[in-house]
Amino acid sequence: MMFRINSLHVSYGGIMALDGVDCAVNEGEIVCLIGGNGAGKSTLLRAVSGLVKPAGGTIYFNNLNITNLPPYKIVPTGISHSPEGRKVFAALTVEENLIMGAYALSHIDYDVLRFIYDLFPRLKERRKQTAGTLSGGEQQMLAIGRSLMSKPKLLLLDEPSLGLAPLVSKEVFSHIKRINETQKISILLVEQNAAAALKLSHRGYVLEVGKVVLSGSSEELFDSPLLKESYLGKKR
Amino acid sequence: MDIFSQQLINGLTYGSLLGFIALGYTMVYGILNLINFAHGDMVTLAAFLAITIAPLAVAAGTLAMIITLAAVVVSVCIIAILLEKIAYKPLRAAPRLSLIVSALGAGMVIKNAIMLIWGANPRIFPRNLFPAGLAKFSDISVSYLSVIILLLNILVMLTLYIFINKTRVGIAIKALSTDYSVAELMGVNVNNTVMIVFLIGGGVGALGGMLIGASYTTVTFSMGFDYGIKAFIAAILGGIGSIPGAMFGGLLLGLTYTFCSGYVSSAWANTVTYLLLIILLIFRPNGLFGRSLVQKV
Repeated sequence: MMFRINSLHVSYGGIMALDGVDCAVNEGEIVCLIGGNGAGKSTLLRAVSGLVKPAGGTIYFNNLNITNLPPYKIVPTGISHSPEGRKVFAALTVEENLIMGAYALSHIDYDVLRFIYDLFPRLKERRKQTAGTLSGGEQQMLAIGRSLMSKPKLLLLDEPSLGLAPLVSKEVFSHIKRINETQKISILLVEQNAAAALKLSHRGYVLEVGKVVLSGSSEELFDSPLLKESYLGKKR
Repeated sequence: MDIFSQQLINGLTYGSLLGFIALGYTMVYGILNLINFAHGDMVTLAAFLAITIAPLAVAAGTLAMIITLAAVVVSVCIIAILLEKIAYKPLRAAPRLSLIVSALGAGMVIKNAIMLIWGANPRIFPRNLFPAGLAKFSDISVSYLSVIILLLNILVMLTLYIFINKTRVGIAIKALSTDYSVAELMGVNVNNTVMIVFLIGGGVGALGGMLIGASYTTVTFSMGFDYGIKAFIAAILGGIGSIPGAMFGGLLLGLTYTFCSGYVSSAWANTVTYLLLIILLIFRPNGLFGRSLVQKV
């Protein structure tokens, strides 16, 4: 097991956001976290990358206990977090954003930069443009590209399809798949669009108010009554 | 020398002094969204430390000036870092209002400590710290002190420009001031970077404090308020968070103030200056170099 969370607790001012979550990601896997607003999906990613301190539980990555490490010590272990809402540096150019992504490395790996430009040719076309002038989809691709620059082995993606047109979302998902397949990067994906997330991933967890209520392979989850009723919007 | 060039040099000198102080406000605000109200008092502290250290350094002869300057700058840098660790760091996740109250409190502590240590009466600033006399450029004569201030201003601006844009720490500062938590996700060491910002702000502010002391010959324990507020306004004029903005905001404020005193009347200088500044801010609310936040979400 490359990445494992045991009984993770996170509280915000006394309110439990995560209440004993177990979760794991194997090498080469795409794993999705599904759940409604306030289920704790983003909190889980924020705890993994060190943005919030867990109140209890452990997080192991490649046999290294990263539970209480600050973010700047977690990034070099090979975990990269692309935050919700993309959060590109709007005033910096596309290329400056990507270079910022390599901050944790002692040098910039131009092979990774080339891979990103191959994957997202539009970023290459616009590399001298400030990121604030990009469309939502392009900003999402930039955010993903930026998080690849630190050469992660595990990529945390928070709502990559948020606010994007269906066609653009589809494009983003296909890029995620390609990153996983060609770069052998494991991905922990948070998504509100449960159907799309399950189609993309190997396994999934369903979170409700800070707890895992269901987990399994994507096929199993797709067929489960709970998912059908609450998240996939299909009648039985 | 005609009145215009005299006023110009005075204005640039005064503006540079404000710029040295404004830098500390703007850099800390850029990263922590905190108006460090204790900054003006740190500047005052530098001037008083120089009063104590300068006589001790006299024994060093020609090096006395350098030793005093270095000792004061280093001491203020250390105190600035301690200020951050004690008064601000524990509150980093707290609402901004709590931080501002902490800043006001820290300012009062420093101000009153200065009063208790050096007394409430104005003190004469050591005259031998900077070379006295006039430098002559064809028919214009300028005091050596003004020349030093203007040269230091250019030096500090260039150094910081290179530091912010070309070094790793500088890039971390830029990233943190753009988006705190994303910079963290890129692997920026926040605590170290914040410490360096307080160190730079404190160091340059200390330089400003000593140059103010030398320019106006006497210093008082409460002078940090007036200079602090003016420098803070300079930072806003330049666009708070922008480093060149702090320097140019200082110059703009200094020049406006000096020309108003020279050509209108010194009694009206504050009124006219701030009226003009309010008008400028109405048309450019983000200041001269403020980021216009064009952002698609």
